[in-house]
Amino acid sequence: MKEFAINNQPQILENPEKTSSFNDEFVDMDNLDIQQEIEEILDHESGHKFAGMLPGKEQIWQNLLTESLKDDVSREQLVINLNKVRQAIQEIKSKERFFDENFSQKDIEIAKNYIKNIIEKIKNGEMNEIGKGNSAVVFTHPDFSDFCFKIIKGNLINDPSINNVEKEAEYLDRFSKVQVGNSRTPKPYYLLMDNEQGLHYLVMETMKAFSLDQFKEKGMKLPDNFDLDKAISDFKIYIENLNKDYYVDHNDIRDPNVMIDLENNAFILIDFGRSSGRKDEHFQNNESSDIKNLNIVMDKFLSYLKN
Amino acid sequence: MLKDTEHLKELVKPVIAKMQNNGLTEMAMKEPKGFFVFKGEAKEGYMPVKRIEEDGESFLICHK
Repeated sequence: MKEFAINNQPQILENPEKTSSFNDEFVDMDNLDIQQEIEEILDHESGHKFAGMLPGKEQIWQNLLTESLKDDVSREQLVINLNKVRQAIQEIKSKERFFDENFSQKDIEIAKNYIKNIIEKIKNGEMNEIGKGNSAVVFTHPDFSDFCFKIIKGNLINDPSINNVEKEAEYLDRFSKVQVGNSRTPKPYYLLMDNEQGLHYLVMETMKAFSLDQFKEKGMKLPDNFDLDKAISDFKIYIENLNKDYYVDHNDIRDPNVMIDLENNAFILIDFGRSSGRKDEHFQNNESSDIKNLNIVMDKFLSYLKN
Repeated sequence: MLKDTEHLKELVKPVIAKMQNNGLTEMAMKEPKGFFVFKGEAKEGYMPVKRIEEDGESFLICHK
């Protein structure tokens, strides 16, 4: 039996990035001194703390610990368990990303301070709520309206049924080069997934547009120079491009997620929280439910305009 | 404004030219309002929006 000193009190790491053994590469079975690796995790006491932070991860940690104490446990099983713990650690670390790759380190620090200040304003109720969905609330500020802050509701930050902000921002970033007419998606600026604070948010471009449900609620009408046929045609091609060229289905095309940009004669697609990639070539050739849902949305929109 | 980064780059060119001609390290843009250009690093209290290179020098467009 091996003995390890374990402090049962969860310990906050000042900077998880400094735990150099928890790097992004998973374990190479041929080279790993598995016991040393396990002892290192235990010494940091971070495994215990990390494992307890996310639902379902505690058991992984317990399995590793239990099996580590057995004399007859196979090296292969230890490696499997260790990989699971390392994966759990990866998942719960804070992640952040700026989408302008030319920013210097100082730019990033200054931008982060600015964003932190805005987040405080959101907490203090000083920001305007411009949208609210099932999983997130979107804020902006009158003096800073070019960007908006999509804050994921606290109880949903690790909900597997929706994309986290990292996944959503990846979609937005990939599609930022796609444009048909003026149909497009918002561009991402910054994301933070802070699991210690339970705070996930995405900073992105504010669209100068109205969602279709807002448009209807306000009783708005199209301006005379708005070419609706072109806008619908562009939007349909845009969505088909995402489906067929990028192999992505939006999966949530409905009034709140379709915006109309009156100035630029276009529809805008937002909220990729339920989007998914297509899995195989056969499926890639099938028509997406997106187009069917788009047709329903547009039929309803045309009916609204006629009334 | 992010959608107009190409447009923003065009708007910022005369501002940068003026900065280079007059040895300035920061200037407010007349259009769009609320935007500033810094040569080199930004200052605290500004939101970096876009970093661009012009004549081998690095400039940062920020929002106040």
